[in-house]
Amino acid sequence: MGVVGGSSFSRLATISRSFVLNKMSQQLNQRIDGPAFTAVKNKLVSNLIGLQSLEIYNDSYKHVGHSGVAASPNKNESHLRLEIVSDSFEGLTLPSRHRMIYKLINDEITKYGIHSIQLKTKTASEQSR
Amino acid sequence: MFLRGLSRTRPGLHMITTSQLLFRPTLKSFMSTEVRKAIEDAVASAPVVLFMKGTPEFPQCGFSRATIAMLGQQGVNPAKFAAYNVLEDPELRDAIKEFSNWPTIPQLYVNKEFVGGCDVITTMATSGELADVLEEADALMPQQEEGKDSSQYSQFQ
Repeated sequence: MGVVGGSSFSRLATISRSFVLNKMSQQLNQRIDGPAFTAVKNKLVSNLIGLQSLEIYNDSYKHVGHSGVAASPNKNESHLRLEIVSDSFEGLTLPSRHRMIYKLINDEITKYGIHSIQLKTKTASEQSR
Repeated sequence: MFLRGLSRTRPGLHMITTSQLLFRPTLKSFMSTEVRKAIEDAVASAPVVLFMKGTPEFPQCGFSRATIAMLGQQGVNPAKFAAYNVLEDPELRDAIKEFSNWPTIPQLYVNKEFVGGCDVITTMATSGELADVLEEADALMPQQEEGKDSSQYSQFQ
C-alpha cells in the first residue's frame, strides 16, 4: 500500500510540475513587461501630456493561432490593449485621440511588429462619469 | 471587388510582387497616384464602406468580425454597403493605412468621411452616435416592416 501511495504521489508531483511549466509559458503572452510593451509604456509615460492613468493589457494569448500573427516573429506581444486617461484628449474627436496615440507609438509598433492595438482614450471627467 | 478594379487600371500588377519587396520603402512613403485614385473610387463606391480582413460572410479577424456585426445590428442597408478585403491585395493593405493615416484594419468610411476603427465604432455604437451618422447618410434599412429584423441581420452574417 505504501508503494502504491508513493507512486501515485510521484505522478501527482509530475502533473503539478507540468502544470507550473504550462502556466509559466502561458504567461509570456499575457505579461506586460516584455520589451515591446515596456517600450510603448515608456514612450507614453514620458511623452503624453496630462497622462493620469495608463493601463496596459496583453491580449496576445487570446489570439494564438490567429492567421495574421502566425508568420510574425512577435507572438508574445502581438495584441496590445491600452486604457488611457489624459486631459490632452479634451476637445478631440475619438479618431484624433487614437491618431495621437498611434503617432506617439508608431516607432514601437513597426520596430516590434505589434499586430493589433485596442484603445480606450478618455479624459479625467469622462472617466469619472 | 477592389482587386478587380485595381487589375483593370494596372494590368499585370500581381506578377511583380517579388520586385515590389525591394521597393517597399518607396512604395510606403509615396503612394502612387493610381493606387490613391483606386482607393478614392473605393471609398466613394457606396455610402458605407468598410476596409476589412476577410469578407462580411467570412471575416478573418476578430475586430473585422465585430465591426461587421455592429453594422448589421445598426441595420445598415446591404445595398448601401461595400466591403473591401485588404488580405486579397497587399498593396491595398499598405496604401489604405497611409490614405487614412490610420495604422490598423478595419477602417470605416461613411459618405467618404473616415469614421474610425473597431474601437471607435464600438464606442460610437454604445453612445448612439453611430446610428446618427448612418441615419444622416441615409444608409439604414427602411423601417416600415416590423419583425423583419432577423432577416436583415442575416444578410451580414
